[in-house]
Order: sequence, then structure tokens, then C-alpha cells
Amino acid sequence: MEPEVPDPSLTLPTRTWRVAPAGRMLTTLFDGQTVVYHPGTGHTHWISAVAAEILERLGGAPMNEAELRAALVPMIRPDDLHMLDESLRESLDYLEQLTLIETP
Amino acid sequence: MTRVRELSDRELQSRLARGLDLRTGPFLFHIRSEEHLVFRGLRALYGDFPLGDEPVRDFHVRIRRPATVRRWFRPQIVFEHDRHTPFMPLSAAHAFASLEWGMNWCIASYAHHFLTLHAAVLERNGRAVLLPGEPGAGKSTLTAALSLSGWRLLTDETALVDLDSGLVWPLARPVNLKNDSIDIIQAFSREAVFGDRVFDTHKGTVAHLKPRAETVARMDEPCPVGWVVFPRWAGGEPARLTPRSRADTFVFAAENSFNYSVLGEAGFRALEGLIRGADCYDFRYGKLEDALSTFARLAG
Repeated sequence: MEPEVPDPSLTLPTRTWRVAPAGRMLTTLFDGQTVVYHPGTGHTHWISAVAAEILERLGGAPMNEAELRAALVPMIRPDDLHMLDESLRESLDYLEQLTLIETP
Repeated sequence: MTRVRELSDRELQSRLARGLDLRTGPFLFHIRSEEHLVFRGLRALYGDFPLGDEPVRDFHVRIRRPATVRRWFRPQIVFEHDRHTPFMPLSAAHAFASLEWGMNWCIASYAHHFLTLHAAVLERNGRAVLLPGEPGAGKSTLTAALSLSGWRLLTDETALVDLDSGLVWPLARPVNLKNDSIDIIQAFSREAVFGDRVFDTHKGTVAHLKPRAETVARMDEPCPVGWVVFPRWAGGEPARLTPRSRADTFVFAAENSFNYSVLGEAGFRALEGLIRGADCYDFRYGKLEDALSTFARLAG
């Protein structure tokens, strides 16, 4: 039986996100953990795999949350899909708090 | 090449009054002072250091009395860099310690051709261990003990990471010990040579440990980093080395760098290369002897 996947339009607001225009962000991967340098603040952060994926996706073009969710589905194990919305929300909040992303 | 120990007391005092060119690692300091404590500190701790004869110096520093009544009454000194006084005056009893702190400040503030990290570094068998750590973690005590136990001291305070090669360059300067650590190291090794104890500083009582002659003789030899170890003294506990994530180590090192954000991408890449080539650990220890055994095993 397929796990129940909530309709994203019902669970998430459809805000659009983009990478903050602070210059070229630098990232590197250590043993599956991503470190990102924010040229706007000069700070370096350790972010989760989901947050790193969001950052990479938004690096291509702004996306709304439904699009981001759809893009993240393939990297989540089916059994964990019920946690996707919470993980997406936490990651977006954290990235926004770090001023790595913003809403246009 | 003339070394400080080859100068007579009169020559050293005379040169200090006019300006003594002292080389420490990749830097040439032009040091001026007529303070007797500065002379005593240099005589006690910098005997093996070479004098420079290059026309261009990296830093011009001076320890002098202020032009106020405090020149005589409860005398004070000021640290001067390029004729600027970045710090408040201190007691004249702190003259040599002020010179040491001021030299650290010069390197941390201006040596942007290196990535500078707040960490001690020692080398053994061609690989260096980098010891970051929060104040009070026992970093300087461990650094001093290792430097008296076969490890080559590169620095106790400021790691100089080459932006191109990723190698760490030595400074080879004295180890700054505080409070109980002074007696611990004095009791640890009969080879420990200290300068004057300085009381009532903002760090408590401080004293500087003389670097070994081999450390100074090899201060032009940079070294790759093999390990990043975060020491934490924990009285009564057995020595324990536990792996630490490289990502977490990267973030800590970046936050404890003096110029990482100044360097931007160059700093990021230098630190990335350093961390990628190193094994990273947390280290808790209760006895210096146990810590030294652990580090000896680490170095192989």
C-alpha cells in the first residue's frame, strides 16, 4: 500500500522562494554533510541534506513550495514521506533565518 | 645570521632602544622599547631567534611610556603599532606581556595572505595536529606539555594556513600560560624555561614558556595538518578520543578564525582543503601523561 501523501496545496502555503542575492554561495560536502558559506554575512553554516537540496534547486531558479516539495519527493524514502512537509517547512525556516533564501 | 643570544646585554638594550629586527616564522618585527621588562623577556625567551637584516619589516611595534603623569606615577606602558595605540595603557609591569599580545594582534589583524585560525599547532613525524578550543579548555597546557615531549611547536595561538598549499607555517613563539597551568608545566618538565611571571593581568597571572631551540631552528618548515583535535580538560576522567564530524569542525574553525570572512572564497577553499585532509576528534583528558600517550599513538 502506498503511504498517504498529503496534497501539498492543502498543507503548505504557496510562497515562492529564491536564493538571497548576496553573491555566490560556496558549498562543500563532508561525509554527507553540507557546509555553506554565505558571502553576504561572512558566516558559514552546516545544513541538512534537505536544506542543501533546497538551496541547490533554488540556485537554478526561484520555486514555490509545491514545486520544491515535488522536487524533494524522489530523495525521500517512501516510508518517510509523511515527514516531508515538516522537514521542508523547517528547512525553509532555517534557511530564511540564515538569510540564505528569501521571498521575492 | 645573528641570533638574539649572541648580543651582549648592552647591545640588546641598545638595539631595542633604536629598534630590534626580530624574525619569527614568516614575519619580521621591528621592536622598539626602553622598558627593562621587555629586554628581560626577549633575553629569557627569544635567545634562539634570528635577527633580520631585510630592509622591509612586516610590523613596526613599540612599548613605551605614555606622555602623561602615568609615565612616573603608577607607571603605565602603551603598545604602539605604526604609531597608533590600539589598546588602553596597561601597568608597566605588563610590558613584556603587552608586547606578546600586541604581536599576536598584529598577525591576526594584518596577515591576510594566510588564513589565520585561533588554534595551537604542533608537529610530529611530518604531520601537524591543530588544537582549536574555547578558553579554559586546557589547550595551552596541553600544547606546552606536548612541546616538551617531542612534538615541534608551530604556534600556541595563531595557526597560519597557506592559502595555496594548505600547509601551516610556524611562528615558533613562546607559549602563553595562565594561572595554575604555569605550575603544572613547571612541575611537568625540568626543561621548561619561563620568563617572568606577570601578575594581575586581565587573564590573571601569566608566564611565557620558552620555545625549544629545535622549534626555532625549524621555523621555516611548514607542515600539512593530519589531525584537528578539540581538547577539553576534565579532571579525573580517562583520556578519550572520539571522532568529530568534519562539517562541524569546519564551522567551528571558521567561526574561530581571525580573517576567514575577510578572505571570502580563498578562506573557504583553504579551510576546506585543510579539513578534508585531516581526521577530526574531540579529546577529553584528566591527566597530562594520559594525553601524551594518546597523542603519541595518534602520531604513530
